[in-house]
Amino acid sequence: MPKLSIHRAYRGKHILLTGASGFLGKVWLSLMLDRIPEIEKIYVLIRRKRDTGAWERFEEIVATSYAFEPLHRRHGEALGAYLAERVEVVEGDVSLPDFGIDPEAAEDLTRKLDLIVHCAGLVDFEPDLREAVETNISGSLHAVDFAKRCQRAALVHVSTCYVVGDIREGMAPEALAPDYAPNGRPMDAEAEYEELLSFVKTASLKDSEWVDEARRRAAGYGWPNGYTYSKSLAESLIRKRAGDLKYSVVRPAVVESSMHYPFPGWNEGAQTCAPLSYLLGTWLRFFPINTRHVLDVIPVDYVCQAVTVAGAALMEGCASQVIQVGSSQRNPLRLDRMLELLNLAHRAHWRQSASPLERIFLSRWDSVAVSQDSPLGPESLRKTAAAVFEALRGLKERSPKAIHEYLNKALSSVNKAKWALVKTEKVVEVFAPFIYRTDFRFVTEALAKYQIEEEAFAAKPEDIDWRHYIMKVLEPGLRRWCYPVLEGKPVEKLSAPRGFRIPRGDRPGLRIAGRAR
Amino acid sequence: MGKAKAVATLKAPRRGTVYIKVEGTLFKGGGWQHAAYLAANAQSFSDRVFKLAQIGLSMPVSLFLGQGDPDLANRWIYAGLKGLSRDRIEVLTEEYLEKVLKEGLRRDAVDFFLKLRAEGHPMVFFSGALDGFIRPLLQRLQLGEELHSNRLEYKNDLATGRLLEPVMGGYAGLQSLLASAERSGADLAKAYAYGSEHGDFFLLRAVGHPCAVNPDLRLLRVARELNWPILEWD
Repeated sequence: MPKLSIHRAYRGKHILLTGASGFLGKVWLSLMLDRIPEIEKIYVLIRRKRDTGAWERFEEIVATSYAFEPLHRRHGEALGAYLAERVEVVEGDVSLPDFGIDPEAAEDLTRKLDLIVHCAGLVDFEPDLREAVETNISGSLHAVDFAKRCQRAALVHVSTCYVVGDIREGMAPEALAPDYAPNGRPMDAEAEYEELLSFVKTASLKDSEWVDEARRRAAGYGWPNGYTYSKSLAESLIRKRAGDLKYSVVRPAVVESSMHYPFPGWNEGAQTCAPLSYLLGTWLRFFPINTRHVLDVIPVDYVCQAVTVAGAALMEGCASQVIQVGSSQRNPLRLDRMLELLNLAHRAHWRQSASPLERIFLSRWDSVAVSQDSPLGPESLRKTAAAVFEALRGLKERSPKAIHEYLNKALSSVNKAKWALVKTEKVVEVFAPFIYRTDFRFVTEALAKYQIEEEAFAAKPEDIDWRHYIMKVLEPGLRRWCYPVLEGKPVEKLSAPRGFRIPRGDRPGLRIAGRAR
Repeated sequence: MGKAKAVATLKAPRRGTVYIKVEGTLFKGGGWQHAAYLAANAQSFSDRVFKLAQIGLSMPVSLFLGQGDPDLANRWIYAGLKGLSRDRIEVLTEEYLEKVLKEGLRRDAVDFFLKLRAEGHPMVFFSGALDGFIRPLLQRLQLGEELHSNRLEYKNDLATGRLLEPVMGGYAGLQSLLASAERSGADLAKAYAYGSEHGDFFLLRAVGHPCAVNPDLRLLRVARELNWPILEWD
């Protein structure tokens, strides 16, 4: 069992992070800055956004994201100066070769870097094919190429457990197969990528058709969606192109609210459990899930610990090629239990509501699992709502004007319900591979083989108390940070101390090291 | 003893072990209300109806088939919880506990037993309700740890509807409690017992100092006949 000291491995090291504006990237960066002061420098690759430069974007991220709350708490007004010493912002773009970094700055980095942590990626399950290729595939290959240019840098590539695709039985292994396709259809990753690049350049499609195209290609090889297809293709290509490069692929399962860091419940965006949990807290009563299947949920800080361990192992020469981070092997959470706990979490919330309707009825309105083709499922209900809508419209045409006002009200309500059900149906369709069709379970042996000296970095999914996590951590976190996104409401932002600035200019440390070409 | 209306003179216990029936004495209501709360909040509406109906049938079952022993009714009540998940039972039990603490507690009884505890009397609580409900209640009230109550059997974290032996709440459970007391060398002649239902009679008559607390009609009649102290706590 390899022994690892995280502090020793990272002491004096130079690390480049991509994807620092994402959920995982932010938590990882904050964790490293908070817990491993021995790191010499973290270079943060950030893309310019219109008129906002990388440096300003980084400053805004630190000032407004709750991921950095522990740093604000620990350093107070001195945080700016601390970051100026520890972090260097590099303006760049993963979709460009060498990340689009200014050549001089890139050259400088190739001499200094010990590790590249490539977190950047598109996490939308149903992405536009162009964006999936640009970010998830080309971006990953740029990371490989840049790492190979470096004198000694190793690469941690963050992928997803779900690259395994529509497995039929057993547990997905921690293996990286070149030219992998889940359904066994012959696949040449290089040829597929070339074809994709050419297709993206030449095809003329509508936006929605690009999404359909990604889905179509994914389905052809047995992946549930364009996201997993692009991530898996990237993995195959990394395997083929890595050569002598030292690398590890870290595959998290469903990354969810933090257990401990930055604080229990922190979450961002609305990609995974949020839409499902949100629907369960509404009047929707019959939800199509396969209760015998497992949903592999893993808190974001556990994934960050795994990324940290992967990096340490690479730098200490005891790396695993693939590290899967999930709970399904050691502490499986079945969907029936997840449904039960989310119901109970919603109940606890609605019991405190000021509205009697919510307090008395919605709190007792538990969702129950049904089969996908159930007459009580969202699809059937949507069809019923559509039929009622049409019937009312027909009635309006034949009825006297005196009752039109009432019929208009009824039509408006039914139409609203119909569209709510259309949205629900869409969510159910997007998540069907994970909650209905396939029982995804993942081997997670690689991480467990390390004997980590620092307990704080030894993530143990087997210790997760699911009832506590879902009711007290996950659901309240989703309610605070993610449901507002789904409702189109503003999300609460951290309010950094007034006057928070990261010193720049002639101070050593933070500066714009490169400019996007 | 606050507002307690002592029908007979009650002397403060001296030295002997104090046996206390929890439901009816420390709080209003019994284990079946707790079970009904769980059943009424099952996941599906049909489950709620069937489970409540089953629990509702426990009274006629006890009357016609139980021959005065609440054991059968108790088993019948908890059989109605079959299929409920451990998560749901424990979360709802926490809710119900809060409800009892807020609305159903007999504060005078709690104060009385707290005083006895402070004086160093060994205290043994017994209950036909579920351990997961009664134990935290006693802990919250800081009344003691020795408790004989019922535990549900679970399989794959779902309640099977069966209670683990020994089942409390009936004569057999009290017999097992008394056997345990004898094994530990307790002198029952010096012991005190506080019960609220006729089902507790078996224990009350076995100790030297029985006392009926807010008794049901049958226990009231017996207590009067036997000249036991009777307490009415608000």
